[in-house]
Amino acid sequence: MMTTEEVCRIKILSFDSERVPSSFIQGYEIPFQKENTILDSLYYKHVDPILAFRGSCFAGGWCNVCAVRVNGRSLLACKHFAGKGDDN
Amino acid sequence: MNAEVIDCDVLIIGGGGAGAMAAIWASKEAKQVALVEKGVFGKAGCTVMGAFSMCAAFGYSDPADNPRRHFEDTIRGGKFINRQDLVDLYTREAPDRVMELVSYGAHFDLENGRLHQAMMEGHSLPRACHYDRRTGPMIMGTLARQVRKTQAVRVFEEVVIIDIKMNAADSHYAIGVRWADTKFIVFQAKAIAVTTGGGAQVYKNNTTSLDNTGDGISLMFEAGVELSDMEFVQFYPTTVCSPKLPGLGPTATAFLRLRTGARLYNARGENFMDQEMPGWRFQATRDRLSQAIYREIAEGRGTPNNGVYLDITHLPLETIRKEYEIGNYYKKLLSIGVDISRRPIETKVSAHFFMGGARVNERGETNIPGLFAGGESVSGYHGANRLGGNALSEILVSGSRAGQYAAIWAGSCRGQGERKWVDARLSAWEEKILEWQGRKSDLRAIEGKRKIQEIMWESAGVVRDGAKMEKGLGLLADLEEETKTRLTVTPGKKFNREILDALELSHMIRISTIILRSALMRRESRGAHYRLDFPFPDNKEWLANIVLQKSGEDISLRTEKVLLTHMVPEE
Repeated sequence: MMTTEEVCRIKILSFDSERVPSSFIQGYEIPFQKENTILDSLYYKHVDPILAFRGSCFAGGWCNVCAVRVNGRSLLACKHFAGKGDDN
Repeated sequence: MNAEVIDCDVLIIGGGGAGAMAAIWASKEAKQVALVEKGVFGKAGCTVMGAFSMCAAFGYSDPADNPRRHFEDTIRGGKFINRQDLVDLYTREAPDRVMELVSYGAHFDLENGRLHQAMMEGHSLPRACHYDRRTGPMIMGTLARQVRKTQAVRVFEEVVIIDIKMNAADSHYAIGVRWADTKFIVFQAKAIAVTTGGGAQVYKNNTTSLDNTGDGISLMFEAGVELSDMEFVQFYPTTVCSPKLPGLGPTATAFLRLRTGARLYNARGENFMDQEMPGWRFQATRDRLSQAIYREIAEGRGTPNNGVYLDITHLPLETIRKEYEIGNYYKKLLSIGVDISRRPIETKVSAHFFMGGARVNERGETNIPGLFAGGESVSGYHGANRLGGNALSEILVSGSRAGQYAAIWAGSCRGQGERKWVDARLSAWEEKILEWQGRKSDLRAIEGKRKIQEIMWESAGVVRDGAKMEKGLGLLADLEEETKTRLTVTPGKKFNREILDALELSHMIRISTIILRSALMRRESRGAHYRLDFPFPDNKEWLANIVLQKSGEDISLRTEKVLLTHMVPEE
């Protein structure tokens, strides 16, 4: 077990027409866990309860509904681990 | 109340494999079929997660195979409490339904121009049709395309049904909520077929998709449908634990077990199955293997991640390459940095499938007139334990029958039902959502779900006992009380996932309670239901199904003897 808690910082381009008219960047911090996928991170206690995302199989590319764009790459959120990114 | 009203002959709730099949068959008799799916149609649900096998007794790989042999294996695997009339029908119709899929353009792995059939555990002969370790996505893709081609079927995606009202010979109503904007849609249907699948999401470790929360079973229960066999939840013995294998599916590790020569051992290196059951690889059904693995872990011989090891490192590299060529298995694992020829894989036990569900007859009819069910939402086909590969073919048979007979029923429907109920329920639901959103309390639906998963894993998991189950029931009741006053949902109507979570939470509490109540009543061990306080099967008392129904605010349970019409237990 790791004693010092590492965190994973994610930034999400968000859009919420009910509150803000234009899109905005929202940053989140969640505890970093090895072998957590991007989708796991999003669903982690609902990073933000209002954050909408699709996800069904959570098993890596079976249902293919969780496609996202991460650091400029289009990928399936359940197929990629939330690793140490180059961006933040 | 203003809500869109959709008029249809047959309403199908749930758009997995069974739902798609029901829609196709219903459209042969009915002019207007509505199919409602909680997620994205053709992608959501558990059918797409079926990795490998779909059993049907063609007898291609071994001419000795026939539906009768398949029937016998299924009854033996189900520990003799399957509904024999249903199994007989399923095993005879499965080859036809598989061929129907082929006629829609489905692909299968072939051998000499015919479907190749592989061996699965619990089956006496090879009869599993497959496609590239992606059988499920292939089937669901084929069915979804076929449904889209069918003019009579209208698909409603990302709509969740929250309420149904059955009106005997008149039209029935169902209220749905659209995820995109939380708008209500009212479905007025002459017949309803429920094909929503099971609810293995009530367990902490599970192999199912996120939407598998038992909604349909819970809705049917509320509508007065008799459920049975709810105590039987299949636990899959060898699912992915460590390392994670994204892209190969939660049951990927089972593939190692079923091919030649993998060793299964605990943290001490003891091959515990070899000692217990020498021919375990194909003889040990999933219930038996899960219980053996669970025992190893409970007695402190588990791996660091609470699992056991599957290991093929002793095999020559050539054999590994050849054996695991199917679906590019070996190479795919290599590409994500896992070399199975060099390291053992840790696997764990996870909840996988509900053998229980609505009690239906061979036409998929429940005891409520006009309400039909198919797929994992029904009971009777698999008894106390499902054999590997029987799910994908069973959903085709039971789904098609539910759709077909629902459409026939719709033809004799008198028409208009009572609209008053709809208006009252619409206002009630709107108020409820507003109430959730207005609360300042702190119980979020996702936390409630996690709590249920913990409670159920502890109390109604692989190994059960009376005291633990009583405790679990108490905890569930507390949680239910808590949700009544403290459940809170974030404001906002557009794509609000928390509303969905909150709705699913109530279904999960309901089916968890039902599972525990049934499991407490069955004072023996049989198939997937294993009790420490009653560790042996009792064929004198318990060759019976537990049937339960809503009665007032409580559940009434009774037992019904199994009719041994085709086959009786040996010994």
